[in-house]
Amino acid sequence: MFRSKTAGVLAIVALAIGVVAAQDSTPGFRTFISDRTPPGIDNGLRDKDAPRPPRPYPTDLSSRDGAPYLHGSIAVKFRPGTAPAAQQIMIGRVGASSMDAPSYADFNIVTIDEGADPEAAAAALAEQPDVEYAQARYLVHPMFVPNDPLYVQQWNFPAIDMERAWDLNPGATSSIVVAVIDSGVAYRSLVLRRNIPSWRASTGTGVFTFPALGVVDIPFAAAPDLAGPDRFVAPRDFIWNDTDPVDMDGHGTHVTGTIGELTNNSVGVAGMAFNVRIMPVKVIDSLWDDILGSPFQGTDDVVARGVRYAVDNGAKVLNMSIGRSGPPSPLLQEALIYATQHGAFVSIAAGNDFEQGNPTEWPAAYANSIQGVVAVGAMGRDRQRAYYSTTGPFVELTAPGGNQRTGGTAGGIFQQTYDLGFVETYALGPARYTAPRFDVFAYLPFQGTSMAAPHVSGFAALLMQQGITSPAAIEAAMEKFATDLGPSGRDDQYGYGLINPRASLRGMGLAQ
Amino acid sequence: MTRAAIVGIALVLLVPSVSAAQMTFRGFGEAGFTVFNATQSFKAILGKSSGPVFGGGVELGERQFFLSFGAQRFRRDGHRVFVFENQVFQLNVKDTITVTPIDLTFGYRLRSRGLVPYFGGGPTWYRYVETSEHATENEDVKATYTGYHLLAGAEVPLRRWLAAAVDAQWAAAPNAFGDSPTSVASLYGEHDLGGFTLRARIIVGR
Repeated sequence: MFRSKTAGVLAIVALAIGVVAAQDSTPGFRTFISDRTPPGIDNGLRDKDAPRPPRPYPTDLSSRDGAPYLHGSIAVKFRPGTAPAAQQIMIGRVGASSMDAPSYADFNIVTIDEGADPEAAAAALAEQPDVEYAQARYLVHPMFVPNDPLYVQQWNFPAIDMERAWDLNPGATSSIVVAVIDSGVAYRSLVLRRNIPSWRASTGTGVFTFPALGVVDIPFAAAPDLAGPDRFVAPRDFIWNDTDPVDMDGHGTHVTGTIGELTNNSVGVAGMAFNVRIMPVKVIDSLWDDILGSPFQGTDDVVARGVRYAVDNGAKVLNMSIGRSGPPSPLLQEALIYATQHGAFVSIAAGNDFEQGNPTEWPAAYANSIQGVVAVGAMGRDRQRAYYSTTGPFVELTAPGGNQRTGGTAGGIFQQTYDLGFVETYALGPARYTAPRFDVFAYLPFQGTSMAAPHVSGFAALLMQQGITSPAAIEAAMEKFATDLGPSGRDDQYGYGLINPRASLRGMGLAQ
Repeated sequence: MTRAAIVGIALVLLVPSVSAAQMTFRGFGEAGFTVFNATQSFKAILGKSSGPVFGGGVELGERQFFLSFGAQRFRRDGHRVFVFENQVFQLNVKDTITVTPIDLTFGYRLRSRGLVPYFGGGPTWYRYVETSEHATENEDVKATYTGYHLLAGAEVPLRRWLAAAVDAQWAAAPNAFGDSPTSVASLYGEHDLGGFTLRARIIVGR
């Protein structure tokens, strides 16, 4: 293993010259100096804080140009049997010379010129005779909409009759593994010693330069109301290319809480399937990952590899509270098919962009064409579609995702995650900016289809434990017993309706 | 009231016309094995579409004609299920089915020494009860369905007051189970609670 400073330099150099593949042959990009820290600090319910403005931190590093994809590389899949020499000739026709085959993938990453248009290069490559598909490496992002924290209660579980559903199946068992394909999970204690360089960030009001903080020790801790003995299995980080997918955002931890927060333990809040084991699979880079120099970003191909990794390592349910708009992604589509063919059910957030033109969201839009993959829209406490929840023919089910526009702070979905005041330190501005801490927790209300999807993932785990082992049958059981909302029958706002776990878990009798 | 019920009542009215001196009154206990007509539905919930039945009844008759009133009971535990593309997924929710057919049979015995063949038929009322774990009251099923049956068998005198019989009965209750969206019977289009029963009887009386 390289020491962290060396690794960081290497990472920067690697990025500068556009080397984005060969991920498995690349040594670790960071070094944790300790795997023990004091237990995480639980700041409890944060329902009296002043309202937070939506996502106050800079929207992007200035090193990015705002493009929805990575420059310098594209993804391609050749038809089976295509000779390596022929592959080289074909990629040569789009100005590329090198190509790598990442793990957990049936596609290749082709390096192209940094200045080239990846979409155009992919289109040109796709027209080659032995190319099954080619696409740009589109960036995928988490699906939650920021919130105003005033906690009241977890209205979301009574809204789907979970108390009675737990009578039928109390939280599944540890035999079910749910993979959280997300920004990581606060699942263990670590200390990361890292040099935090100066960085520039663009916001709506301008570009800010944040000062270098030098070498700092950044503590991580497991979320107290989430972690337990043998709770986590086969963790994997595709952003840092190691096996420590610690969350540097809070999104993945919050999502995981809805799936499997420890329940009936006299602490905090509850989760849907509270006995399952969790597989943290990090495929989304947060701002801190970027600041700290993560070598990879959350592109389609990284997500697809995360999906295949989770399936290959025993996950039976995959939660994907992530997505993007833009063109389709064949490699994500094939990864989803791969998952269902290997017995894994996939729950995907439908998207939060209804008021931004309601674009088609990927990979959610593949859901209605793949049995065993479900796209989940969000509803608020008022049982109406949340204002942000994307609509379309791919929406198949609705679950509580929160709507703080109509329900106020209490209308969010509460789970334990990082106390964001210790994470979003950049929100204080360059003058008061400090190193982050990932060991201080609070119960925060989020809203988004990101929060709806894990209800369905937890639900799927319960159904799997209950005896429905086929992903397609799980989807059918969810849809058959869903409570119809909106226009009668399936519709583009609510799909088949609000999930009804108790009815699905109860199934069918001979006469009733 | 169904035609079967009307026939049954008519038979009851006919019996008193027979001389009281010729009347016999007997009781019987029986054990048998029923294969239900709703084969797929029972198999989905119980794992099999057949099972033992036990019952008993009384019989009033004369040398050739008889009228019997009997009841059997079938009870078996299974599981609630989900059916998808003809695949049955057994759920971890216990489901218990109890079927109690009550038969009124008008029959005829052939004159014979030793082995006495007989046949008959009449209305059947099925008491159907289905209960499951964690169900609310209105989720359990308690219903009565009406049907009819035909039977044929043979009786062997064993002692002056004792006889044994074996018979086969076919029964139908064609409008059973309803159309609930959570009914596998409805899913399979099986609405007949009847079935074919083979049974043995011990008859006491003269």
